[in-house]
Amino acid sequence: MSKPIRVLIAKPGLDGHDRGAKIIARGLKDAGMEVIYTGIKQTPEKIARTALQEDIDVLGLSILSGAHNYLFPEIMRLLNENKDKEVLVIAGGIIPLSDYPALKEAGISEIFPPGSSIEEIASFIKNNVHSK
Amino acid sequence: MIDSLTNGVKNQEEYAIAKSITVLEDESNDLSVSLRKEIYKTNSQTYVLGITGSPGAGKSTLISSLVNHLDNQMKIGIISIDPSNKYSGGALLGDRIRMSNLFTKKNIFIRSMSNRGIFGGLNKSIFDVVQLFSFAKYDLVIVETIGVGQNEIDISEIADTVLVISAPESGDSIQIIKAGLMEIADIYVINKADLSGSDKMEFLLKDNIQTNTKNNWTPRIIKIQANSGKNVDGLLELTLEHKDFLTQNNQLFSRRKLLLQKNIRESVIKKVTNNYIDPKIQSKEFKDSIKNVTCGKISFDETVNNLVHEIEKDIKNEN
Amino acid sequence: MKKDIYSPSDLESVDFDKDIGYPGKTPYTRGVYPSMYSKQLWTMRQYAGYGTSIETNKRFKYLLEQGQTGLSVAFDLPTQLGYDSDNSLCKGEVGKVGVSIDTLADIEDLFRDIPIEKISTSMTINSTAIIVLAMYIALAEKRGLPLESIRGTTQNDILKEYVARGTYIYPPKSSLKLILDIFQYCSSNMPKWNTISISGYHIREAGSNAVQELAFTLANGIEYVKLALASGLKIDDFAPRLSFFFSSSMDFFEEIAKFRAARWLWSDIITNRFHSKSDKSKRLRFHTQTSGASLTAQQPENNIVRVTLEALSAVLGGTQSLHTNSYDEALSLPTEKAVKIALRTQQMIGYETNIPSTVDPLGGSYFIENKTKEICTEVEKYLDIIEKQGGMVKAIESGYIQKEIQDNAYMLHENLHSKIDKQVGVNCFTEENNQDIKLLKVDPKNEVQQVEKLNKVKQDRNNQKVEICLANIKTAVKANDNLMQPIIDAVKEYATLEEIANILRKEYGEYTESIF
Repeated sequence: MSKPIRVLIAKPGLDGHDRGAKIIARGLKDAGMEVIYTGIKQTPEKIARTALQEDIDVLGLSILSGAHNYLFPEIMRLLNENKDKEVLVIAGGIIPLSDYPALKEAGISEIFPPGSSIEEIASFIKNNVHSK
Repeated sequence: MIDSLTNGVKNQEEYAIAKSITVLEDESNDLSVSLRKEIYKTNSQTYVLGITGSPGAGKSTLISSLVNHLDNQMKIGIISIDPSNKYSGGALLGDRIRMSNLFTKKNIFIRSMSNRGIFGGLNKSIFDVVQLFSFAKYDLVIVETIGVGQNEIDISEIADTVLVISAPESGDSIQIIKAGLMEIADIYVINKADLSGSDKMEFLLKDNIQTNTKNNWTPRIIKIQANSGKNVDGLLELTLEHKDFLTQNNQLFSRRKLLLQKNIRESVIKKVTNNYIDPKIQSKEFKDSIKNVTCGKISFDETVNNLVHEIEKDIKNEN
Repeated sequence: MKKDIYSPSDLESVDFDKDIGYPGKTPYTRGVYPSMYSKQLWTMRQYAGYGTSIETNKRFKYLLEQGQTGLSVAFDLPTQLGYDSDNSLCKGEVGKVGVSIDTLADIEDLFRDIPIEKISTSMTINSTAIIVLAMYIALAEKRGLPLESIRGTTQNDILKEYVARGTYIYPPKSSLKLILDIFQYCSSNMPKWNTISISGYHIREAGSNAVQELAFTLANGIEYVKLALASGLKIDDFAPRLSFFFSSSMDFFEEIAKFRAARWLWSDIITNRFHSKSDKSKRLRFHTQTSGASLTAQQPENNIVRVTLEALSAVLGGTQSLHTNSYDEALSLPTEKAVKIALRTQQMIGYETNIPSTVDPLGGSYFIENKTKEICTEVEKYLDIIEKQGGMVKAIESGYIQKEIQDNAYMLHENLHSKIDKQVGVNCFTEENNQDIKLLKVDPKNEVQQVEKLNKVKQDRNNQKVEICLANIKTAVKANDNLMQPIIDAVKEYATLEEIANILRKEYGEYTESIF
């Protein structure tokens, strides 16, 4: 059996709306992945350190507070400091389309708006995780 | 590659430790053989604290609280194990939620692992990971497992001191006795001691306590509140007392040798089965010969003996 | 079980006097007032707030000019979590989901030129409710207004934060103590203040169904009542000031039945469990917000119609006040244009449809009455389970409530993607490129301005006096005294939100999420 994909689902920002994050965590588990879930209010430092120690393949960020334009680039900066390996980073939550380009520029591979299905997200991960 | 990895682990670099765990967990990884060779060369042994109990008993909260009571110069590795789903192979590893305040502590390394569908015990890779932390000269390794099924039996082999934790609300005490957790605990921890029922639980556990025939240690019982940290220092004292007891009786790390022996045995069995036995058993030739047993041409025992001879020959020829 | 057709046989278990009755009379199934909207429409109250208090003040005035009849303040997350704007944890969060409040100076700017004695103000604030309410009281006192005239609501419902919304700070026991302080202070000083808004809204938004929303909210309500009784308050001294807050979602008739069931159940609970002698205590008054989770980011203008239907459910269900969501809220905070349409939606229902002229027009409908009864029965089953677990605090601590909500949320998600449930623009009638609307941008400069303002306030205040006030709070915490007055004294000297919250953090500890 091949090694399962390891995913960290992290909730940066101060909002407590974890419905989406928990659904994704559960869904990716059912899709055969090892999902690490760390709870709400995760600082960029916590996320980056966890990513390092857990040797993850994928980082999923969920945020609804509107602070993504500050927090996502900050998380990417710290992840790159880890220099361990390329992690596939995806995001979801309340993020206006007009913010997508800058976030992708910062290194977020894909953004999944509310209404995205787990199948969609799981297959994106499977198709892109090793190419990174 | 392997040198940079082992040097990194020796220097306690988190990237190297994290990567090495990934390698050790994945038997199909080419590096795992050479990495294992390196890490088993060390003489250094790290004290291992095992924590087990049913879901919701407060294992991760206890770890968080314990670590906050320890010197922050100590290098501590925490391995947190959750079951994986046997159909999808996936797992939801959520123990970190309750250890969030440890994430940015420089001296703490936390790794969440799933049992990757290997039932009947902690898999060998956890033993390897413990060894990795020894090799990296960590001061303490804490292994957290859920206490259902057979897992507990393995934690008692891997850990020098085993804490079995339970909470009164879940009506745990009977379960603990039934599940055989009684026999593996060096210290019983009754969590959420503020809840009614904790006295009753203590009474019930006391009544069932037995001196461990293996090493003459009488298990202790302690009531704590993991979330507020109440009496966690008392638990720490008991733990050290157990460690001293083991040291005085020359038993510290002694289980490790037995486990190594057991793991080698299991690995040998697995290898011989995969490389020699299964190819024979699965062969068309052998399957055809089975009808000779049913029609009485050859006996069951003769068939077994023949097969053993053939396997012996194969092994000899290979060398 | 849902059927195609309902008939008199579906009312066999329904007793007119016990289950339905007349509006304004127990069991209040048909409404808490005899004439309901035929005399006075519900309060149109749009939840608003973003950026600095000066900016939100403008939005408030705009809404009042547009005919809104009450204010509802949205606070940013740092304010809700007891952090000042200059805390490093708050980078990127200041003024994002609501207005930023650090000191009384912000509250003064927020309500500048707004006559707070004439309107009612609702505040979505929970773990820091005691501090923000203290600031509001300080404002009233500084303006020389008698506190008896001040009307409004603090959400102040901490229990649902642990299961659904996440803006908790302290462990449950200490949080409940703060709630009690507010109950006690208001029961003797602010008779028109709704001390708590027991909220099902967030429980629903987190993924529960209508029955769970109601059951868990009422169970929280029971817990607060028990708490107040245990502290020595008498049921009829505080129960009339309890208020509720529900979601209105897309299952049109189910929602109407839910609101009616809520009233019946609460009246029953207060009467039979808590032995109230006053009818005022038995009335379940509630605010409604249309469901945020039902809004779609795809084809956002469609949301206007969703909100209309949901608002109509709330009105037919007899709500006391209503917030209608703006069509762009699945994407960001609403623009002025979007908010205006949302408000106009309520106004059209109120003024054009003639619906308000009849009280509980659906009362007696075979379907509605049957559904109301069914929801009551289902909710009671949950209440029994929770009671057996030792009450809501225990059920939350064991993770039972969270698990129930998460399981339902997962099921809803699966149903949507397997198309068992339909959502226009999402899993049917979809379009490419479907987000073409103008969104509100909160100026990142707000954060800088807010921090500058905070620094200035700290420079100008009398720091010696602040220290004394903070020390007094600490003494009161240690003595387990009511904290309301010492906090009012401190905010008057411009002590900051975080300075006060930190004293409590130190004494009470901080709660961390423990259940998944």
